[in-house]
Amino acid sequence: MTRWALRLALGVAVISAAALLALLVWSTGNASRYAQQYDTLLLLNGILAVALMSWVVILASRLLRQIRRHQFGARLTARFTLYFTLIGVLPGLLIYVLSVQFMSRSIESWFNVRVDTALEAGLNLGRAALDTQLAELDARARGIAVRLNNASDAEIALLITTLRATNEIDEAMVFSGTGRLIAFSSTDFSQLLPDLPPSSVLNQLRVSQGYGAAEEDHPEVDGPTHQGLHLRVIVPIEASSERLGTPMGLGSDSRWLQVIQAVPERIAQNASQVQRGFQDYQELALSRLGLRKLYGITLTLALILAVFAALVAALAVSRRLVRPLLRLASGTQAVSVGDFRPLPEPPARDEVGQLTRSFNAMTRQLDEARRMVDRHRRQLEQSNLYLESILGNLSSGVLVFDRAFCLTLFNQGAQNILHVDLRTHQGRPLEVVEGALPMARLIRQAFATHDAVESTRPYWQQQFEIELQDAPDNERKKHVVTLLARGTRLLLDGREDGFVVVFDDISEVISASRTVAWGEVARRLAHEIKNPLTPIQLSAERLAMKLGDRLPADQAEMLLRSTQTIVNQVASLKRMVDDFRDYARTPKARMQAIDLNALLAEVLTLYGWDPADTQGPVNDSHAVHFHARLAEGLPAILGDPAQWRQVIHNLLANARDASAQTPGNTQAEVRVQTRLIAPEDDNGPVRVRLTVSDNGPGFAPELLNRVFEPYVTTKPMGTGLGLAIVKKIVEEHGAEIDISNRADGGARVSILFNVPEDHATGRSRSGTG
Amino acid sequence: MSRRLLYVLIVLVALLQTGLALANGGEVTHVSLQQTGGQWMLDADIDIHLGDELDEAAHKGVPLYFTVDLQIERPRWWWFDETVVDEQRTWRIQYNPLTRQWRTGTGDLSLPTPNLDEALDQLRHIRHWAIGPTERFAADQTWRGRLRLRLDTARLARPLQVDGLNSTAWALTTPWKYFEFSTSADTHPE
Repeated sequence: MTRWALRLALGVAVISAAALLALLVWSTGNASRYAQQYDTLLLLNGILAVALMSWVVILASRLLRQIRRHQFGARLTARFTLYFTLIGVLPGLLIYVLSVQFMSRSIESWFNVRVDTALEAGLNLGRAALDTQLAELDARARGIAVRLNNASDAEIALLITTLRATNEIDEAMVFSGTGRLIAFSSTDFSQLLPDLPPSSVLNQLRVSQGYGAAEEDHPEVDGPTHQGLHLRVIVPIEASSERLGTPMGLGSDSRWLQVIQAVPERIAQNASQVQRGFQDYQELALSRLGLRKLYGITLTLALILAVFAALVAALAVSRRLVRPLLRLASGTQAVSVGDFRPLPEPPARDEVGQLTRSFNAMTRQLDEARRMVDRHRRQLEQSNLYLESILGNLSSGVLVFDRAFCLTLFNQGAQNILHVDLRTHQGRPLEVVEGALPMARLIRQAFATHDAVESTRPYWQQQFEIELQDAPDNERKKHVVTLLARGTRLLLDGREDGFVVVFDDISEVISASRTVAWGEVARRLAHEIKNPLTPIQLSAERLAMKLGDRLPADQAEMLLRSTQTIVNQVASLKRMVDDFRDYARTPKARMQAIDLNALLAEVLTLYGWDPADTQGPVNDSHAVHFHARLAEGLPAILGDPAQWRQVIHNLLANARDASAQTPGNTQAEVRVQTRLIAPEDDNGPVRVRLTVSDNGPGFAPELLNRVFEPYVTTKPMGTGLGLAIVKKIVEEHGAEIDISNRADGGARVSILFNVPEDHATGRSRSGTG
Repeated sequence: MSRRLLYVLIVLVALLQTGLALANGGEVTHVSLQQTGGQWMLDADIDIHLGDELDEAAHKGVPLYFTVDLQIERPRWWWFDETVVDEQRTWRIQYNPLTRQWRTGTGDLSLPTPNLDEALDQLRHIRHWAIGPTERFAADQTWRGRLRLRLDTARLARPLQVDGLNSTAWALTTPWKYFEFSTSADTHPE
């Protein structure tokens, strides 16, 4: 809106400027109506020029500032402006110089000495002609005056008409020195009043004895109309006799004769033509400087207006030309910083518009390409993230090396299994990682061996036993772990470029298989050993019974002692075999609902636990103190009460022995706890947990993984079968057992019981607590 | 922009004013008014002399027009002053090179004068210029007036006007002569 208003104002200004200039040029003409307003027009044009100039100055200074600030496109605009200005101004300047030169020369050429003298001569000729006529008239007047001399006033009146007629004079008049009319005669009968001489002539007569001059007929009429000329001659008349004695002069009685004769029309006309020409010429000659100034000022003003208008137009046009280019340039800059918005397309169907359109098409394509790249990158990132999270959550350890055996990739599983922090060692060989040296050696060795045997299998698989340093967390101390590792060369783009090793901690698997193996051994041993035991025992008893009476006393005693030893040892052997049998072939469990708390209370009572005494026997420092915290409202669990009783027995005995065994442990105590474990989600099963913990020395790290294996024991007198049997029973009941060391010393055994569905809600039976 | 333009205009106008004020060729020496025959009559004496350039132009037959501007105002404290009289009187002085005669006149009336000096005498001593009937000037009042004589360049030939615009010789203007006069009750006919 304002833009249109501005354009309208500009248009009006341009039109009015042109009109002003036209008026100025017109007003230089002499007869113009606007001649009077020339000054005003000049001023207005000057103001216009000043306004244009200031406009130009403002535009130019703005352009200069832009150039100084290195604003994009300013130089191009300046160059355009310069060229346009040159195109506009140079021809104008040329025409101006030519015009001024031409004008001043032609004005000067109007005036030269020859014309000047010719006109002067013409004027003199006219003057001479008039002078001749005047002299002749003067002579005639003097002739008449002689005739009138000494005549009285009456005689003069009579004589004058005759004398005028004979002398062929148009008008004759006699007047007194005071200006009083005495006699008058004229050829023009319509003229009733004589043409009295003006007062200045009368004044002149006082000092001179006569007057003669050519005069214009109608001096009051201005302008170039034809003016007739007449000659006026005044001569004195000698005084008459009665007036003798008075001095001459303009006294009341002096008499003057005035004769007026019209100059012949041809002479008068030509003379006044010459005179008017002379006058015009003189006027022009006087004003030649003025003329030059007039035309010069007009031309200069026109030039200034034209120059400034050209400048303004040049600035405006170059801006207009450059603007779409600037828009394109800013568009490219925007694209370079990632702004792919399309430029506004100019409506014009010219090359610039086409350029803008193709630019927009290009940015669109770029934008699409970038978006596609972005999408792909995001997908890639997501899949990478997915892979990484899979790797991270994998319990197996994964290590990836480059060709120089520098670590490039690892996962959390590897760190967990190896108990090392690999995060700061990426890109370095595994050997430099503290605690990972054996593993690194083994891996290298495995790859070297695999290469050496030139196996056709693409991977190798080996089982390592490596010793790990003590981890800082006490709870999972391990010294030797068994790893199953599998390594292969990494193929990237069809060529070998690194190594991948995947390994798993199979210590528990090995332990489990060992347990199975032990079970088998135990079963066979029990079978094989138990069979000969009964005959051995029976034979020994039979020996003692048959021979005891027949032998001498001392020999009989020895026999009795020996057979007793055999019987005892066989019994002990039997018991051991029974134990083995129990381990290997536990009788089939008779499942029934058990109240775990009641069972615990029953067993605990055997160990001297008093349900009423929560504080424990404080006075007895040597006895092991039992604490029980049994949760109320536990659901019944399913199992064989006898077997579970044995499990609890075993656990409590172990805990008591462990805590009592610790030297310097003044307050040995065993804590028993039951707890209801709520399901993780609403549909999950409810579980019950039993925890038995002591404050003994805990398990040795190397043992922790193998405590459930037979013959693994920390007790000097243990068979090593207690925990193995516990494990077996637990597994047969579908429960889970976990053994760990407590952070503040001692061991902890947790058993997680499953609660049958129909008992889960029936928490009627309360704990004995 | 507009402010800058305004400054330029102000400077231009100021230059023009000073130019006119400087270009004077004489001054009004005396102005007096008196009441005669029911009219206020103005007498003025003006000291004026033409420069060489004007003199030469006059002798070559270029008609010269002289205008006397007279303005009389009544001061009004509550509004702009009231202009009572605003009159011009123009004299024309021309030399006829053919008849070698000078003529001086106002309006249609033109009288021959023997030379330029006597022609100018009519301007130098203005007598009995009736400026208005006594009724126009109320009694017991003070009137302020001003008077000047100038060469009327507007009546010159076109090219000479340009000369008149920028040549001091042709810009003959006396400064304004300010005068005051009072009307009293007794002089005013009832």
